[in-house]
Amino acid sequence: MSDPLLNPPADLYPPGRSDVPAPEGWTPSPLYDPFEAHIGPMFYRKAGDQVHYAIKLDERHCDGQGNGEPGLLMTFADATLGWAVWLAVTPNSAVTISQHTDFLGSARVGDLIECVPAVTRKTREIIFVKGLFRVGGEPVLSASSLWKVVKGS
Amino acid sequence: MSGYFEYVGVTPPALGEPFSFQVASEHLNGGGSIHGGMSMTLAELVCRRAVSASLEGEVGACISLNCDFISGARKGETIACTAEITRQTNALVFVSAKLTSGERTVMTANGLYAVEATDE
Repeated sequence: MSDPLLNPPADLYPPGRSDVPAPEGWTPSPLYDPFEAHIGPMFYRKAGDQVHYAIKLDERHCDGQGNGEPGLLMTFADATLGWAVWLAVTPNSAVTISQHTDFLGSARVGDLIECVPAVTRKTREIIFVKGLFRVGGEPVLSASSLWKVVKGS
Repeated sequence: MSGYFEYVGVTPPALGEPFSFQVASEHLNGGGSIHGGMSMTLAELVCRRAVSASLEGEVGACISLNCDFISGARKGETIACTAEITRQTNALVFVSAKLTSGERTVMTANGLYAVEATDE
């Protein structure tokens, strides 16, 4: 089976801003959505069977005091959990119907936020997915969401 | 207001004034509707504004937000953002938000804010 992360469809949106360098060991994620390309890039790396996702906070993502904005963190969570869902439903697609986010700690400008999302249940219609987001091993965010499967792509 | 809101094109009016937002190309998902991250951004901001207005000077930090994606919104639509305080204690504020486009509900959200920052 081809790996859609490593062999993305040709019509995917580009990774976004090429002036933001990838941290060592990370690869820019292809981004489907204009809004994700706008706030990106986001990154991924494979470790065994797991795919890790990350975003590096810069001034575009933070408030005037350098704290990561909740809206940006929820957007990264939606994108990250969405990747796991997409890998679970392809060639169909899915849309978010509900997301619950808990803000456990602070993330600051310059921080690399990492997550390994996990699909917790998959039915024909609904996907349950969750993720714990960490900075340097410390939890900063947890998110879970429900997605509705959309037939076709 | 901040780097993030300026970057994504949100310019909220003074606290207490009605808050709305027009969807542009860069706010969309691949299906041509507002990206969930953008609608959650609006929901959190309108919750925060209601909390700030209610706290009269003290700061509220978002500790939890639950968002339901009721319908989409296309480029050019204007989304009205409203929120009201459900309960306020010395330590916590419960707030409920709604995003609408005309008569149609786009998102409902419930947030929990800590009156003091949760940083240690």
